[in-house]
Formats: sequence, C-alpha cells, structure tokens
Amino acid sequence: MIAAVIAPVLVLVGAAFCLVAAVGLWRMPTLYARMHAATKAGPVGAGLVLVGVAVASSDVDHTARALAVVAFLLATAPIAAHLVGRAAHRREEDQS
Amino acid sequence: MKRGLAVAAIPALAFAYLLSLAPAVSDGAVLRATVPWLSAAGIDLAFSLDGLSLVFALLITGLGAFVVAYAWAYLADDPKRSRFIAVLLAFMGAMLGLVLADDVIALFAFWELTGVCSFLLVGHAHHREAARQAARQALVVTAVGGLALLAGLLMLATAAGGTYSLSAIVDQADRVRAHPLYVPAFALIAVGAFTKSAQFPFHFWLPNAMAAPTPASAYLHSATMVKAGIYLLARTDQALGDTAVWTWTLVGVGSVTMLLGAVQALRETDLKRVLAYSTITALGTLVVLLGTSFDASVKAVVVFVAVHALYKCALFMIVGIVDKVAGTRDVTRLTGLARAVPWLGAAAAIAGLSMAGLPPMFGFIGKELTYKAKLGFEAGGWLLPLIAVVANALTVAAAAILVLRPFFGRAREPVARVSVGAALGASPVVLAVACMAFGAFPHLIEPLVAAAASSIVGRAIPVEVSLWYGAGPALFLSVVTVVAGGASYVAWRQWRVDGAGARSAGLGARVFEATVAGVARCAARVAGGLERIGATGIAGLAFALVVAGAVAGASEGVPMPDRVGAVWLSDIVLGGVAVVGAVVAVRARSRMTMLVAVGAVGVAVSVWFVSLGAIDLAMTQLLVETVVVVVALGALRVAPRAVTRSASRRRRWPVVVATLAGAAMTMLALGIVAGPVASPASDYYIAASAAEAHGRNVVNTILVDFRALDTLGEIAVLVLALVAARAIARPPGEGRASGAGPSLVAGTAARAFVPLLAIYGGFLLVRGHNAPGGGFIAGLVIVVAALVSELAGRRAALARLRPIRIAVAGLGVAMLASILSLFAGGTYFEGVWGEVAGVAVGTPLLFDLGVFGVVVGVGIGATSGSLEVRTCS
Repeated sequence: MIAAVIAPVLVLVGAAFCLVAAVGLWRMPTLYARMHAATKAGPVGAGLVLVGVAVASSDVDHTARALAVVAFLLATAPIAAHLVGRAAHRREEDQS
Repeated sequence: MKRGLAVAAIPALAFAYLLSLAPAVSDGAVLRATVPWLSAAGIDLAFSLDGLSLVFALLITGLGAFVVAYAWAYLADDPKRSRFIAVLLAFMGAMLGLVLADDVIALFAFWELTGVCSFLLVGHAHHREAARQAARQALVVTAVGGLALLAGLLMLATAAGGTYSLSAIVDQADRVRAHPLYVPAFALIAVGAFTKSAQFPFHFWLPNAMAAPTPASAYLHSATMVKAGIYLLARTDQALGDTAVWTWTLVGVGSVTMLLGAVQALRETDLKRVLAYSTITALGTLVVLLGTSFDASVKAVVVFVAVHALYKCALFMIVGIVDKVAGTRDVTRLTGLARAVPWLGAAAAIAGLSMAGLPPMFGFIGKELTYKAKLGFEAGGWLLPLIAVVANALTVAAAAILVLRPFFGRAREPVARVSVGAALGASPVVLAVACMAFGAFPHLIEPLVAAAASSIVGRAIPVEVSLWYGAGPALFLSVVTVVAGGASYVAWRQWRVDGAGARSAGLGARVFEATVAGVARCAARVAGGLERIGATGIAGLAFALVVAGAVAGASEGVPMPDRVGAVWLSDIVLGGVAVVGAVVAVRARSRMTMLVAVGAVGVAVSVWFVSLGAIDLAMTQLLVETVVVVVALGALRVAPRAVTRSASRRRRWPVVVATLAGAAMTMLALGIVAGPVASPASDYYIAASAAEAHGRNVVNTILVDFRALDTLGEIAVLVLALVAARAIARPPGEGRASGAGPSLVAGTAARAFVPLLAIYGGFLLVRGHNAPGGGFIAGLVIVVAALVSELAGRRAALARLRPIRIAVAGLGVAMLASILSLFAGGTYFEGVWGEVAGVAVGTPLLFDLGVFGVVVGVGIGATSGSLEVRTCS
C-alpha cells in the first residue's frame, strides 16, 4: 500500500525537477549555471522517476533494470558536466 | 629452381594424362563428363574431349609446363612472382575449361575467365601507367566481345531448339542455318571471336598487351588465349559454316588482318611488338582458312595452330632472354648476340626458320598446307594466294628482323660471352628442337591432326602430313615467298636502319582511347555538376522527385483509411517534440543548435518506435542518431559557428520542398494503411520465423535468412564505400590531439564504460536471433564504444585497429556462411542448423557475425578521425 503512494510521488517530484531544469536551462544567465541546471535533469529528475518505477513494479526484472539505469545516470552525468565545464573554462582561458 | 620445376609438373602431368587419352580420341572416341551446375535451367558443366579439344588441350598443358618453368626463372627477382605464377595457372585452368566445355554457357564463363586472367597478367607491373592502360584496353575490348559472344551463343541455342549443349547444337546444323536468328547469331559470335583473336578492327589491343611480362606474352598472347577465337570458329564451323556470309566475312576480315599485321610488323622496332604483329598475321591466316572451311583448309588450320604456337612461344622466350642479357628489345640497337650466347642463337635460328616456313622445319609443313588450301579454294581465284604470298613474304622478312639482325648481324664492337642460366634457357631450346623434330618426323602427329580435322568438319577425313608433297604450285609459291621475303628484308634494312620510321597509334586504338577519354569527361562533367548543386541541392532534387511521384499518384485518387486507429497521448507528445525540433532546426542561427534540434527529432522518432513496439528499429535509429551527432559535431569544429543572414534566407526553398515531401510521405503512409493491414508476406514471415529460421526475432531472421542475399549485397556496398572513403579522405595518422590534452576524468571513465559497451554489443549479437538485437545493432554499439573512446582522448587504443581489414573479414565470414550449405548438400544461402549443447546453431548466425564485422569495420573506419581538428597552419 505504501508503494502505491510513494511511487506516484516520486514520479511527480522527478518530473518537477525536469521541468525546473528545463526552465533553468532557458533562464539562467551563464553557461556554468545552465550546465548546473541541465545536469540536475538527468540523475535527479529522471533518476527519481526511475526509482518510482522500481518501487511501483512488482517484477524484479523491471526493478533491477530501473535501478541499473539510475546507476548509469549517476556515473555518466557528472562526467558529461565535467567535460562541458572544462571546455568552457578552456575557452575563457584562451580568450583572456 | 626445384620449386619452379615442381610447379611446372602440374601442367606436365596434365599433358601426360591427356597424351594417354590420345590413342582413343584418334580412333574417333569422344570422352564426356558432366558436373551438375544450374541443372534447373538446363545448364551444366558439361565437358567433351574430341580431336579438336585434344589438340588445343595438349598445346595448353604442354606449352604451359615450359612457360611456367621459364616464368619461374624469368621472374626470379620479382617479389610478385608467386602471384604471377598463380594467375598463370588459373588462366591455364580457364583455358582448358574453354576448349573442353560442351555447354555454351560454361564456354562463355571460361572465355571471360581467360580475359580476366589476361587483364591481371598484362597489368602485372601495375605501378606503370602503360601497363595499366594496356591491361584495361585488353580487358574492355575482349569483354565487349565476350558480351557479344554470350548474346550470339544464346541466339544459337535458341536457333537449335533451346539446347545449350554444343554437340547437340552441331547436330541441328541444318535447322540453325535455316533459322532467322542465324545471321545475328553468327555476327555476334564472330565479333566475340574477332576481339579475342585480335582480328581487324579489334587487333590493336594485342600489341599493347606486350606490356605483360614476357612469359605471359609467350603463353597467352601468342600460343593459347588469342587462339580461343580460332577454336570457337572451328568448333561452330559445322553449325554456322558453309554459307556465303560465313565464308566471305571470315575470308575478308582474315585477309585484311593478315596484310595489316604483316606490314605493321616491319614498322616496329620493339622485338615483342614485331612478334605481336606477326601473331596477328598468323591469326588472320587461320581465320581465312576457317572461312574457306573445306577438308584441306581444316587440316591446314590444325597444323598451323600447332606450328605457330611452337615457334612463337620459343621466339617470345628468346626475346625475353635477349631483353635480360642486352637490356633492350630495340632491334636497331641489337647485334651479334649469337656470339655472346651461341646456343641461344642456334635456338633462335631454328625457331626463325620455322616462322619463315623453310624446310626442314615444322613451319614449312604448315605453310605448304596453307598454300595448298588456298589454291584449292576456287571461289577465291588468284586473290587469296596472292594475299597469302604477300603476307608470308613479309613474315619471312619479320623472321629475319627478329633473328638475323639481333643474333647474326655484324657487331660494331667485340662481344663478350654472357652466361644464361639453364633454368631460363632450357624451355626455348626444347621448343625450338620441337619445331625441328615435328618437321623431320611429321607422321608423329598425323593421327592427332586427322582426329582434330575430322571433329571440325564432322566426318572422318584422311590426313597425310609430310615434309615433301612433291613439286607443285604450293612449292612454287613457297619459293616465291622466300625470295620476296629476302628482298623485303634487304629493303627494310635500308629503310629502317637509315631513317627512323615513326610509329603512330592505329585507328582502332585511337578510337578506343578517345571513347574512354570521352566517358571520363562525361563523368567529370556530371560529378562537377553535382558538386555545384551541393548536398542541399541533391537532397532537394530527391525530395522534389518524391513530391512529383506523389502528385502523379494523387491524380489517380488518394486512398484514405476509412478509420484512424486510436491516437494515444504519447503519439501527440512525441510527434509534437519532433515537429518542434524540426522548426527549431530550420530557424536556428547557430549550427550547434541546429544539430541538437535535429538530434531531438531523431530521439523523438526512436521513442515513438519503442511506443509502437518496434524495438529493433528504435535501437538502430537511436544508435545511428548518436553516431551522426558525434560525427557532425566533429565537422562543426571546422565549420563557421553561426549561419549568415544570406545563408538563412537561402533556406526558404529547402523548407518548401521539405514540407511538400513530408506531406507526400504522409499521403503515402495513409495510402499504405488504407490497404489491407497485414500483407501476406508479413504473415508468412511471422509464421515461418521460428519454424524455418530458428529465430523468434522476425526482423533479424528476415535480415540474415529470408532476405540474406539482399543483406549480402548491402554489406558488400558498405565495404566498397569504406574502401573508397578511406582512399579519398585518409584520416591523419598521428594528428595532434585537439585542445590541450585529454581529460583525466573522461579517460578513466572510458576505461570502465568502453568494455561495458563492448560486452553489451556482444550480448546483443548473441541474443539477436530471438530477441531485439542482431549483428547490425551490435555493430553500431561497438562503433559508439569506439567513439566514446575517441571522445575521451584514448586515440592510441583505436589506432591499432584496421577498419578495412575488419570489414573485409566480416564480408568474408558472411560469404563463407552463404556457401557452407553447399557442402552439406543444400543450395546457396540455405540455412544449415544443428544443435550444440541444446542451443540451435546455424549458418545464419555465422552470417550475422559477418554483418557485425562489416558494421564495426565500416562504422569505425568512417567515423574515426572525424573528431580530429585539421588545422591548415
């Protein structure tokens, strides 16, 4: 019964994070800030949705897959953010 | 040397075996063997050995043994010797097949194979432009003739009542000659024979083919391949001959060829080209003799084929040794070689006397028979003997040019002895001795000549071969010939040595080269036009065609589905994302935005595929999208960042065309949906997939089993495209790393993720036959892994990969999988299945592995280096 309550909440919160990230991507003034917002959409936004799926599903197979995807998101998103930030930093150095 | 002799033993053994069959064949037996080939179409690898085939087969294998031994020594310093010998032996097999084939389609196949081998041998020294050009010319001329031959043979088969068997066609001779297809069939077959046997006006390729290494010239371009046309005419003589068209075409073309070759031979200074033109004369003589086709001339054909093969092969080998010893083949610069290598001089003298047709050489017999035949052809009057005397007199002069001057001419300075290895010298000496031996003991070959002549005309004819036929008109003509030849030689010495004769390319060669250049110019113009239109223009043209097709189709009414299925929210959302992406892409000012927007369209479509249950499609789409975005990113680094105002204004037309094309595709999709929902084909595939193809993934079983031949064609095209792309745009080998060194974080992460991706690719490959995946998708995953590796700056790990080798290996595996069933008694591409530890294993899985290899190789080959910044500093 608890899962039936928690899962929709998790999915909604995840979706809300995605929406906020999208707004941030649109409104934030600098590249670093936009990068910060965009990176939240993956691990936090999509991650929460996936955790919700894992909680809701009674199938072990689905739960395992959802959690695996979360793990990969957590592992790759920071690297992508790092590369973007590094490239931006490099360019500033080149221009100065 | 021992290895050379061992290789030469292959044709020698075949020769011995054929010789052991000679007594039976001489008694009139015809040996037959049939290997089923395309039996359903009435085409088999049928072989028959009669007198005519036997004479040619003995020449091919006997001379082949000597040529191989000679070539082994001749090319001792050539790193490509093994290749040369291998092609020579392949040619020998093809040529044997040609003269033994009893099926017209098999004959055609062998005919073309000899042409391909000739191409490879002429182009042996492919680093030289002249050799490449000569090889191409010989191939194109003989291949065009080959196509004519195929058409002619098919008409012949039709005229004979639909049989492909040569012996059956010959039995229907009267029917063939009365058939309306007789004249076109004869004309096309004659074109085939004339191109192969270098008859006017197709003769020009033969002198140019002298760019081949001398052993190949000795074998293909004098003794065997160029006689294929003669063989074909002799073989079809019974079915097609004995009509006015046959006689006058052959006599006319042959006569012109004889004279042309004889005159041209005297204008050349390169010994090999002199030999080539004298070969053309000899081939012309043979064609004339076949044209008259009565008993005496048929006998003369058989004897003259052997005579010419022996002396010409010997002379070519001698010229090859001269080339090596003196370093030149220029007749004006060679003298007194007999003193340098006395035994070679003796061999050259014998072969030259045989060529000139002087007793007691074999050549004398050949010429006597030729004269008797031509005198006996009454319809020709005095013209044929006259042409023959002129051509033969000039041949005598050519023989003198080849032998007298280089070997026995007065040397300006003293000549030192030169030693030539026995390995190189043995073959021409043996052949020269044979020229003399057959002249002295002609009765040795009498039964063979009789059998061959009988099989040409189709009834037993008595043959007497002898050195002395008594004093008659033929002997008188011989005397005239020799005297006139001697006089021509004296005249040539004056003309040639004093004034240098200029050599110009003949008309045929000029027409040919002009045609080739014209085709190249046309192609360049088309390519240039396409380049000016640009990628957008070409895509626009393609889309415009789609629109035009739709408009044309719409004129017959647009079928509309009577009801639209349920529209889900996901359809609206995903479709909306795709539309927004497309609009953003069109309106964007920055190329980067454009790229991201296009990527969004692709991702939306992929997810749409997932929502409709097309997992395989979605995976492919997503992977291709990923690769394209990464490669395009690499390209963006060298393109201007922002789009200029004028460029964005130019985008209006593409938008209109693209929108119309989209509408057209929508109409098409609606039209398809309006039809029956499931076609019988998809029902069949779904039903048969697990039962017949041992797989539950229908997409995969269609790719690797039901429509595997299509897939094979597609991956072959992919491999070719890769080879071409790598040749045009060679990626920089040791390029400077872009930016200031790779990121440590990314590099470390790649170390962990790339192997994971590789394992995932392998997993998709293995499960692909029953679940979403398969070789194509798995290959794309590996390509993405390679791209990740490259993005992370781990270029060194990729540099060791050889994409072309991987792709070619994949293609090889796929082709192997396609033929494995043949060994299990199945048909081409039939799946062979077995069970290993309870798992069904079959050749389609091997084929899938091949597809995987091709995709990996092509993908990595096409994308690696695309992230490299190429600065032009």
